[in-house]
Amino acid sequence: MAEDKIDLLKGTLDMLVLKALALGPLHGLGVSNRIAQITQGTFQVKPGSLFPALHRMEEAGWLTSAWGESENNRRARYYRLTKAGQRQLKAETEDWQRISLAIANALRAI
Amino acid sequence: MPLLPRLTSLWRNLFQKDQREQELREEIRAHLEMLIELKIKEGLDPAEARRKALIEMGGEEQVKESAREARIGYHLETWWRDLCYALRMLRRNPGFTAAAVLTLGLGIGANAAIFTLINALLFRPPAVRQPERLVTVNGGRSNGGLFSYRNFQDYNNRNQSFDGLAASMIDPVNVGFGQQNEMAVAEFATAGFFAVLGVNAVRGRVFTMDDGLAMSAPSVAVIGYGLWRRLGADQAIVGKTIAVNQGRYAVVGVAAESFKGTTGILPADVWIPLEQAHQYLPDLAQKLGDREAQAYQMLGRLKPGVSLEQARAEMQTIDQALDQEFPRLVQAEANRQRARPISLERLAGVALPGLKQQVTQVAMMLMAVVGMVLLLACANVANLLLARGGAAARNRGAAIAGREPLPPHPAVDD
Repeated sequence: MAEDKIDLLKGTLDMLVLKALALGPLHGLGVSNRIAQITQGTFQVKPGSLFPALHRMEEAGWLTSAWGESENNRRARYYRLTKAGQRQLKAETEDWQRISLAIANALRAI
Repeated sequence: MPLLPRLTSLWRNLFQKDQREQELREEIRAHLEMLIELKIKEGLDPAEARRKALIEMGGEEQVKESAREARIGYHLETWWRDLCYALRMLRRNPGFTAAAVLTLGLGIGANAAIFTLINALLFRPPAVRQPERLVTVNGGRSNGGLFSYRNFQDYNNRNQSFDGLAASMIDPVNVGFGQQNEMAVAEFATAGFFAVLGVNAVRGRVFTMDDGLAMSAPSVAVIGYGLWRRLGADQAIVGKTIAVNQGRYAVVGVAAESFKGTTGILPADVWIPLEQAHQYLPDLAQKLGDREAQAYQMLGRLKPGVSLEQARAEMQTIDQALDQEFPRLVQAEANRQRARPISLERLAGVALPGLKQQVTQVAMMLMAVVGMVLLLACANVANLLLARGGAAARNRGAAIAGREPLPPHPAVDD
């Protein structure tokens, strides 16, 4: 496990959560697994960071949540991206691409 | 960020707390259960799966608390909790509370009292129409910044800068009405006084230029709202007669409640036109005719668009012209006081011709003193808190040593 090998940059957690939810509604564990999956295990988001992020983003209006049934017929809280969340994801993606490109260039420059 | 969802969240966080807590508990619990199931599916036995899942969670309570911290209004809530704790402690220690409240109360009270005084003396604009255009005129060389009535007339007739000038003086008098007698402060003012100030009457009318010119008519007076109340608040007072010292005056009106006159620190109770008062106060007649009898403070209403500097320049010119026309006046005064140019000041607080600077100095000193008092009060309360803190620490130490139960702490005492 690569857990904590790479500290999440400030702001990247939000982006990853939004990205994970862009594919469809998920519960907390689903979000965490989806992030591990799409980053090939580089990021393992612990509940201690995941839930504050989910709640904060819900209050910001980027997510909505509702109770639903999990695969094993368990009651779980499902999160879904809102219109504002989609816009936020787009904006953050663009920002990130610009920044990562700039940093990559900077590191190559020497 | 959209405002509405944030407000709804804040509302829910503060007022539907139980439901929020319940949901959070369920959410985290479900997360843990699913994590365990996942581990079992991966081939661990149930006990081991549970152990691993708990480790991965990193403490249910910690997770919940960090989720709570992320919410809107979290700080508001902790602040509220602290406030409740503080109030509880205050109630539990009445002696300490009394000492702290008394100390701070004295400090704050002293500050409030002094500031109220200074505000009234220096800052509060008088209750008149457009007070920003009212200025006091301080006589240059004259005694205490006062003017003679004759000079006032010359200034009033010759200037172009003012809509009008008014002069007045105050005198303590005895006012009689029916069987009643009251100590009061009379302001003897030029007939145009109320017009210049822009003050109206709540009953009847104020006196005008016409009253000043009607030398033979019975003298009139406007009484202050406060005096009117002290005299029994007679609804039909207009037209009745009051006695002011030896003179008798027909009351023509009651001045607006907020108006307390303009002269000195004493609020005025009754206003009488200077031009008429001499009928009953013989020495006043002499004063009115005497250019050297400098007894009146002067104020004026600037014409719209005329600056303080323009008005000052014009008044100084008139002043110099009067010096040349009446050299005897200059001679008489040369012995008394060093000549200073005439000056104008915007009217704020009470008019204190020539005294403003001294009053300001005293005011600053008083403010500094009461400021120190407040500082001392705060230091005292801080000391009290320190002493209490020390005692509490000893109790806590004893409790930890096992002799007493642990005293409550803000975080757990809810």
